[in-house]
Amino acid sequence: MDSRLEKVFNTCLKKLGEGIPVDQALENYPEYKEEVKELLAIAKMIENASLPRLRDEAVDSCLTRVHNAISLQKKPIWTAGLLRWQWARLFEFPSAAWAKALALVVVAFFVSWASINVSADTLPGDFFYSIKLANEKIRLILCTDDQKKAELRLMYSTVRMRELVRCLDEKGEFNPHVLTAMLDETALVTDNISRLPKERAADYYLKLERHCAYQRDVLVSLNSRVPAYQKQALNEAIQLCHHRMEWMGKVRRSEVPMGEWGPFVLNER
Amino acid sequence: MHNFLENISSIKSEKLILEEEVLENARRLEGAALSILVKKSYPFVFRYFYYRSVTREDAEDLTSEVFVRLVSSIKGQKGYFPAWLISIAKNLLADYYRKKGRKREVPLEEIEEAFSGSEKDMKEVMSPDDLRKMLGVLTDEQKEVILLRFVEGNTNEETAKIMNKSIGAVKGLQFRALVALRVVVKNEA
Repeated sequence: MDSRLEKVFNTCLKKLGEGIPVDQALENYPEYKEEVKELLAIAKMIENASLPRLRDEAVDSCLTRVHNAISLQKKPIWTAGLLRWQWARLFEFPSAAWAKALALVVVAFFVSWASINVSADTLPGDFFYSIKLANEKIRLILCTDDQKKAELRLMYSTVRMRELVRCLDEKGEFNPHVLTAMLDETALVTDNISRLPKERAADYYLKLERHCAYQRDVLVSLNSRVPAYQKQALNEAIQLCHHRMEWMGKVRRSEVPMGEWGPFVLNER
Repeated sequence: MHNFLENISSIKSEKLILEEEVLENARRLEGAALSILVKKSYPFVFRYFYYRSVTREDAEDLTSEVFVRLVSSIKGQKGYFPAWLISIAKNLLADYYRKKGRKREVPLEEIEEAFSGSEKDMKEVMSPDDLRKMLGVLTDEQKEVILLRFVEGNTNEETAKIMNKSIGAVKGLQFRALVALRVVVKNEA
């Protein structure tokens, strides 16, 4: 296709639009005169073609449909009988994309809430147990206050202890991993209380002392039900809880230097 | 020399021009404004469907459907109104072709019949049906440019906005379309 012809044609069309006669518009391009005129003739023929007739009945029918649509748009939502493609109106979103995004958030929230609730009573080996642990981790991460973190860790240690007891009761299993997790959570409480002011930290010395005493007593009560090959691990845990209980007593009475956590330090067990 | 080539005007009485105030009121779903908008835009939309090988009845139905959809979405309308209107029409047309299967193709004999005598009788007014048949040789984009430029009377800039193309692309399509039509006219002559 001749690009030069195209340029000449466009130039001529522009000049015609400005009111310049066609011969004058083409006087600089004699070699293209006939071709351009042919193209212009076709353009003019199209321009002059009569337009399709509009039926008044069709226009009136269209206006009626439009006014019905306006009434529907203006009706209160609960009486409008929303058509499927009007569901986004419910929240007056700028676009359907916003409505879809909100729906996704609501569904995700519901699924998370449901999962967390279902996982609350699960035991190690259950399907939702990992969700339970993940939820606990997230709560810890989101918690910025050391005191609240200490409370959470105490609670999780207690939860691990209950899981240990339930595993033995319901499944007949003594789970050493849960036992370790229980002891570790207790140890990590000292990380948090060591960052508290002295007056607030002192409240937790007694709490921790009693917590360790309670854990020791519960573990002692499990002794008769634990298989023989696992009794060593249980006895070691009982001794550790007892040692920790005594240590916290000393901390409370200021018999050990501040910041010395003895049996609570994880790598000294 | 054909005197009718003089004064190709870019402003036709059919050109869709809507006042901003009408559009503003229409966005607020004011009945009067929407009525004005529909009456002014109806021919533009109807012709969009009519020249794309859609039967008259279907073109009327599709045009009504465009305006019903317009009512539900005009609140958020921004930008160049004719371009937005055409985008609704395009979507409906695509759905229409999907339901109907293949696009209705104009047989070559009908195209030739539309062209017969056109070389000799350039001054005679071509009927809309003949024009529709004649445009059957063009691609969809070429057809759209020809209709927007010479039937609707839009400038290159307005056509480019409606088609979402550059002005250069519009000029190129326009030129190639006219060359394609010239080939058929010459063969027939």
